[in-house]
Amino acid sequence: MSNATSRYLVHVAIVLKGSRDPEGETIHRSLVITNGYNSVNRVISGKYLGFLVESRSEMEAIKYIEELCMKARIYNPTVHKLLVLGVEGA
Amino acid sequence: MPRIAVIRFPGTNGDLDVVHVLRNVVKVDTELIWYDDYKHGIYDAVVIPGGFSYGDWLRAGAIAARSRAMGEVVMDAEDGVPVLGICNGFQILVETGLLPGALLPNDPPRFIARWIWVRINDVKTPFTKLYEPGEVISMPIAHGEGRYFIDSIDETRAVFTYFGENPNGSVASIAGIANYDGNVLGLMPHPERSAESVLVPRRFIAGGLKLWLSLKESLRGGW
Repeated sequence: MSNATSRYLVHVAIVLKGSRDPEGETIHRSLVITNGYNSVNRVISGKYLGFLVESRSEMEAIKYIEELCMKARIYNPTVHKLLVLGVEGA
Repeated sequence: MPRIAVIRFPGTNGDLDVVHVLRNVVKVDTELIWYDDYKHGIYDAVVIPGGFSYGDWLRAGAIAARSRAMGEVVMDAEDGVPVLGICNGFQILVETGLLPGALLPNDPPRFIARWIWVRINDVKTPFTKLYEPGEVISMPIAHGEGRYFIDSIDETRAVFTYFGENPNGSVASIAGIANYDGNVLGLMPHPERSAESVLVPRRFIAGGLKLWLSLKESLRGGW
């Protein structure tokens, strides 16, 4: 495998995994349902982060950021889960 | 004479209130310390006051919790030194892992700043020794992320619970918890703003004073 690295932008979101999400509920109730978009059943709020990283592949970049987010406690595993939204060359 | 450290992080704003109460009301030797200068093994007790450390970026308390200073506080806590976290200090203690669970944005989702009533459930901590078991006191709260959450409340020692209402949606109305040994305690209400009657609105009481007197008494005679 080549050792050449490229830059990747890894997009992640931190969302609640079980407890109530009052921000999402308020957006759903006050902006979505109020405006008649009744087909939307739920809104989930969260925090977005993007990491620009040097890596040898997209998969390696994702694994690296997942480990970072867990070890540096970017999310609190008691209440949050990490969603990897995608990765792109940057 | 016992020496108490009050740690100031970038964004802390409750530090001078705590120092005032400890020095002028309770009359104990108190030092205000910039977080980067804090070292373990020197002080008899540590207070992490409220505020908005690091602007509450990422999550309230999350960045301060990863500082070298908190590593030093963890060593103190493991040595049995009483550690108190108030509001943002509580959030920092939870994010550090010294206390279990998490503090989430309030439910309903808004910042709350008003006086509330709190029940003392556990008087076997250095901070609650002088209260009566079940005593109900008043203190002010001022927070946006105070909804305490834990998967099982059996895993926590709920020293303070909100009384008469649950202002932020906390599990089991929890307002403050201690670790298993009782020497680490965090609470969302502000005992430093309720230690002198001149600050107390009508119909409320200066419920925080006994917390500070308990700490002073505990440092002299144990708990």
